[in-house]
Amino acid sequence: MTRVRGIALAVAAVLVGLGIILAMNTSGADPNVDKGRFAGRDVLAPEFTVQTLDGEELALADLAGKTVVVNFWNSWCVPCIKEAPALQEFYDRHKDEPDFAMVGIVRDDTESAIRDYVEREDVDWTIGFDPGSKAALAYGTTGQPETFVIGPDGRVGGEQFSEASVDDLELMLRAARGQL
Amino acid sequence: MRKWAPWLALVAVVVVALGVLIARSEPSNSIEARAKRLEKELACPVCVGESLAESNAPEARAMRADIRDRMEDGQTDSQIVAAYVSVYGEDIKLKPGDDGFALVAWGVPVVALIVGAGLLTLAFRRWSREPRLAATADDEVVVARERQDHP
Repeated sequence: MTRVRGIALAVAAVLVGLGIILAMNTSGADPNVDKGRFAGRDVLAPEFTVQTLDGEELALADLAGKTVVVNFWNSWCVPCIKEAPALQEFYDRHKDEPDFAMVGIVRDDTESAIRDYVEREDVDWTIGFDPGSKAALAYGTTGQPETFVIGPDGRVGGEQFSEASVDDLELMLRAARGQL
Repeated sequence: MRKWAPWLALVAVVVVALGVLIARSEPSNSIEARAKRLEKELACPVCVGESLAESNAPEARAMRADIRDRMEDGQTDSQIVAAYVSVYGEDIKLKPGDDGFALVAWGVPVVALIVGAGLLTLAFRRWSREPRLAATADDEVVVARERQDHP
């Protein structure tokens, strides 16, 4: 009986130990909250090079020193379409600032659909195609819209993985500029 | 000599078979072979429980191509995995790592196996020590009666 009790105690100790380890790794973390991919990490925003609608190449490095809003989107994506008025309002507010740039990177769409959409909706910020999805992979996108705001220091100051409002965009912009 | 010939032939066959087996099990380091291995070890970031190899999602297709591009650029397998972990987190790995908390994932099955085997050993020993089922007096009466009726 003593031996059985000892074994039971040992098994219980192992289970309690595992429980403590699991609790230490999960406590306080809400699995439904996307904590962001760059928040709290001392890393520079991943480089990318996109092809603009004009056929030119635009690299993040070309925008060094600016606050760059990067929005991953598709013309067929309903949340992206819903988000568009907020992006337009936000862009109109800041487009004349010399240290501001906004780039819409196409995740998975055809060139003709994008050209039609841009013309129809009068999108006037830079739109870029992402050959081989290199930018989308570098930013770890898993859907659209996803928005990253890169500060003048080259670090991601704000990121949102859903439809952003003007307030969300302004908040991310201030964070990226170190104004919070 | 003729007596040993069949045995020598058998040894030769076994040696050749082992040689072929070892040669075929040697992991290939071609880009295609390395990429195929990594595709099985990495999860599709937008799927549930699917590896890159299994998924046909656009993200998985892009990652498969990206893996090959990175290999052609000279990146090692671990550098590629680290690059994906840095943006997608540890969940992108289907196979747990070999450090920190991931050791628990490797260790638990081993510990469970050892503990289970130990418990079974103890149980078998205990059962073997316990007396087998003995016939009661009533059983003896029934047997005796049957023997009498059917000599």
